Amino acid sequence: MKINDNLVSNNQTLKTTVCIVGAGAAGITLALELGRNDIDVILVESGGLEYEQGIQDLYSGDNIGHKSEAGINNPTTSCRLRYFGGTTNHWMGNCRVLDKIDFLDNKHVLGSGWPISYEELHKYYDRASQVCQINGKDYSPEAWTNDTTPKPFKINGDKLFNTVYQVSPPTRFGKVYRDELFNSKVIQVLLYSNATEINVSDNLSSVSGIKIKNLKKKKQYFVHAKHYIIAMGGIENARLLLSSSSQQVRGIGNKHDLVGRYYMEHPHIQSGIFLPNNKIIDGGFYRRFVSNNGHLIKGAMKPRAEQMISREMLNASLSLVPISVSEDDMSYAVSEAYASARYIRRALTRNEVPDNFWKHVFNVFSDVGSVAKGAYYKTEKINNAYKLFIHSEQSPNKNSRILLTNKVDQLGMPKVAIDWKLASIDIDTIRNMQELFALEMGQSNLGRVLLPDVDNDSWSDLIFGGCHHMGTTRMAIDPKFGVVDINSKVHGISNLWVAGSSVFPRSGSANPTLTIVALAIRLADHLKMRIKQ
Amino acid sequence: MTISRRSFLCLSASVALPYFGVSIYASNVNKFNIVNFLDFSDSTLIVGRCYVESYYSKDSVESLINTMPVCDSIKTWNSSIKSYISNDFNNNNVIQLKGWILARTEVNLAALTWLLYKKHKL
Repeated sequence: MKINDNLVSNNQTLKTTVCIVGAGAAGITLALELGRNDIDVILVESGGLEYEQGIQDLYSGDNIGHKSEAGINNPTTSCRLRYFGGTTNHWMGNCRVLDKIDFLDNKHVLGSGWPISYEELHKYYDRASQVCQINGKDYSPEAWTNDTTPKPFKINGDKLFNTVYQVSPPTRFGKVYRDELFNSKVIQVLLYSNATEINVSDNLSSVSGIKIKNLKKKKQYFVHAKHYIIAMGGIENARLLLSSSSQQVRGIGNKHDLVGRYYMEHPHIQSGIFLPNNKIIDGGFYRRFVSNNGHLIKGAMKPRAEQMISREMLNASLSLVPISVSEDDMSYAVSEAYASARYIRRALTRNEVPDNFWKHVFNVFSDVGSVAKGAYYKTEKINNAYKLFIHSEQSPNKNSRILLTNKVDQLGMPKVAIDWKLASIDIDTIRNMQELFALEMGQSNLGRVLLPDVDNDSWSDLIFGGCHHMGTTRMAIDPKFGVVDINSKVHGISNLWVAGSSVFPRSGSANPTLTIVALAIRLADHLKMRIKQ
Repeated sequence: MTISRRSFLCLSASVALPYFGVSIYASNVNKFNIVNFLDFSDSTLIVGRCYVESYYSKDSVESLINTMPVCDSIKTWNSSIKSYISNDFNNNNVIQLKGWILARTEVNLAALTWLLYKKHKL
């Protein structure tokens, strides 16, 4: 049921069995799973049922790391949504399971590997698929294509393989599951309630309560529960743990200085052009299309595990964006000047000044011809080539992190700074993926690939994040290497769990939502068993 | 010098289906009769010239011919070249020419064509 915040008085304490903080994909999945098993739950959500700027502003922070096109100055607010349903309210819906290699501890990826197996997590993907309203866990192209649908390229080599992403409607968790949550007799939904501090017991081994502040009503209250789950997203999970420092200076679960570290994104880039050998070769499979059974699907190519190991690269995924290019000279399309012009344009459309602004302006003026050609052909509607769109895995990097700043928000909570750092293996992975695609297209006699000069500095500026915030409370068996254990419980705290992509020790290249939901179901099963015991 | 899309497509076609401006067929073709199999279209010449100029290639006509398959018919030449190119891509035996990722064989073929053209003013 929904609790009217007027009925909660200042300094009141609410009691329950499980307190879940955050009503996004993970929090709502957990509440549903527990509620269906008659376990009392309080689901705490910062926002209301619709977007409100004042609440959203509580997210605002600084970006002090890699500046990306996706949110040049402030990815803290542009990526996420702080109201019932969370970021699923603007989720694109791309779903895919992680690959087997994503779970392995590869020698060339420091700090990689999951402490649970591929098989263990895969047990939960079927149920996660139902929650995300997609159709099972078959990601082979054959399951989704026939003579009436676009088909994948017939590739002869052993470098890449074709696969699909299933596309959720997309499920707006806050709308689709609202009635069930609000009608449940055991679930209490507390809106406009911001968790501002986790309090622990005197011996610091368990959580004793969570302090909640209501921004609108200017009051605070407390939730006391047997079990606590924070499910606020990859940035806020770390923020709450770090800022809960009144009893432990470093914050909760941060004995080994790992909370907020290993912040990962999925680096994205559109760079390079694929020119098919003839017009019959259609790249339609590698964009969104309606499958043979009416579901929305997007095809992609991924590197084979053997290639990833031999090339010492990370996982990646490549799709194709149709473009129109000049018949006479395509060099403009991969020129530094054209890339800089696009970079500036995208920033300005967001009313932001791009990083390295003058460098990019100089690039534009040093080759105005290329920019003019690009602008001209952009207006033509003939698609005769494809731009390579790659999104890849990022290596776990201790120095890529979420930090607290000295600034505070309206609730008095420290604001965050994101220090997103890319390592050389992250850049090399994108280059390797482009090269593998070029080799595969040549070997299969499908066409040729035009790549930009990969040594120029501007190229890395074009890498942007996918609004996938991961790794900041990573999972590991040993507390020295991770914040949570294999059941997502915070090391050293007996009743505090973390849900969401912040527990990912390695991200793979698949969009994270399906795995977030699968892990939430796994955690719910674990808690159900534990509560019954 | 830039490689245009048209040049590129023609190069691709010339490799797969050579156009024989001088259609000479010999039963006992040795490597030096390879000239009969080459496509002296503008597109091939542009790519060949681009390679030679970009890499200051010291490759001689003879050394380039030695990289080519020995064939006695157009048909076998075509399939051999296609196979060579496929193998090049498979074995990462490629060259980046003005941004294009091309098989060593197709670049050699274009360079050979350009060098012969320049030498004999074909």
